Amino acid sequence: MQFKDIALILAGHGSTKNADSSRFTRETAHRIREKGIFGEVRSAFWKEQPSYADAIRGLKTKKVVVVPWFLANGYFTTKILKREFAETPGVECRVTEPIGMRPEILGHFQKRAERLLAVKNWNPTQVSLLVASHGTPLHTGSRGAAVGLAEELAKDGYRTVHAVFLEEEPRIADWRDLIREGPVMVLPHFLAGGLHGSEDVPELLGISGAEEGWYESEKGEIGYGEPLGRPEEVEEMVIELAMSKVEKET
Amino acid sequence: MRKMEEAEKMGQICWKRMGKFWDVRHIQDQGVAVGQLKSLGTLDELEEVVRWDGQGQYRPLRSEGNLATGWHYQVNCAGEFREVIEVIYPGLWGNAEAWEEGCLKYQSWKEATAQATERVRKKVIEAGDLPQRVIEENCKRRCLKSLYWAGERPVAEVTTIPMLCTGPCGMFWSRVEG
Repeated sequence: MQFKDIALILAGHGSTKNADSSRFTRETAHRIREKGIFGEVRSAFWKEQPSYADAIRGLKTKKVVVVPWFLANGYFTTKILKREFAETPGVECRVTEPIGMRPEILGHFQKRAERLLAVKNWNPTQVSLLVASHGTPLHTGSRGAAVGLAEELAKDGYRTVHAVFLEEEPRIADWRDLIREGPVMVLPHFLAGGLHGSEDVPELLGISGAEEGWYESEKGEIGYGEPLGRPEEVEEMVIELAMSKVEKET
Repeated sequence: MRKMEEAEKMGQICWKRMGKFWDVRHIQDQGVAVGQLKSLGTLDELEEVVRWDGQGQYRPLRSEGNLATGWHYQVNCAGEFREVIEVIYPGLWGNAEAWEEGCLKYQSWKEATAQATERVRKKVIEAGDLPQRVIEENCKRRCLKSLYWAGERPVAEVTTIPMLCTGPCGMFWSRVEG
């Protein structure tokens, strides 16, 4: 199926400092562009150029579907993206759910957990699990997505499962207060390439790297999963979100 | 009103129409033999070039005056030409067209702050002259765009497409947030 009269914009956060922050968003846009499904495919960012407004102005197509490159229906997607893409005269803009709301995300988390368990030849009952997310006092959506994932993952039989946060309680740095003993696996609820998943969370956990694998910290053994969002993992999710939004609303 | 097609320059790039195609390159590479420049064939390759300055430093602001030299892009049709410009200077051709037609929309400082978060608004109020300082120290030093939203108006030139800033960007707010 083709949507040649529709432009697709992947709307991410981006960074003024970290070049890698937008890498996977742009790579995914390139991959989808090559498939030739949509008339135009762009990536756009809040903190770097092209901005959301730049991307809209640069399109030939006047029907646009925007897929938020975010993990939760939080402050950015419900306030900023809605506003930035709603107020463009002459352009018909639809904004989908963020990629993080797709049901496949749970499976991606489970695969990361399975890989970490396989390294140790353990099963879930021997390990505690933390979903490390952003959280923000500005909106409950970010927290809600992480808590929901933690609840689903708990059904896999881990000793215990919690969601922990950068900007809300319980804090990531306090992980040992939540789980007093035993090995812990941490699955970052962050998009790959960003500073949170690659630097901030490992630092708060007290581990020496951000690659997927097991680490020794002062507070015990920690398995750290790969952040989400590799292009080959999310490409189909983005296409599905965009196509179903267009089909539903036309 | 002049025709946009008559222009040959925009910011740090220039182009030459040669029959059915255009050759786009850095303005400092005007007159350099094609064989001495890296030939770019896809928009992805071009994007990789414009994301880094000549020293290999990350370049989040595409309109900063530090575009790397040493490349050229041969464009085969008008549609592709516009896409090339969008990669190098996103959104700015559209702004210039709107300005030429007298319908360029921009965001006032009042509108911009009304949309900012409470945290940013507080910083702006506390600092008093903060916007002006950010304009002087960030926008005017780094960016090639005319600050249309802050009252600057470009000088109309036949051969140059003006670069117009229509509101505080992500870089501006990052500086405000410190």
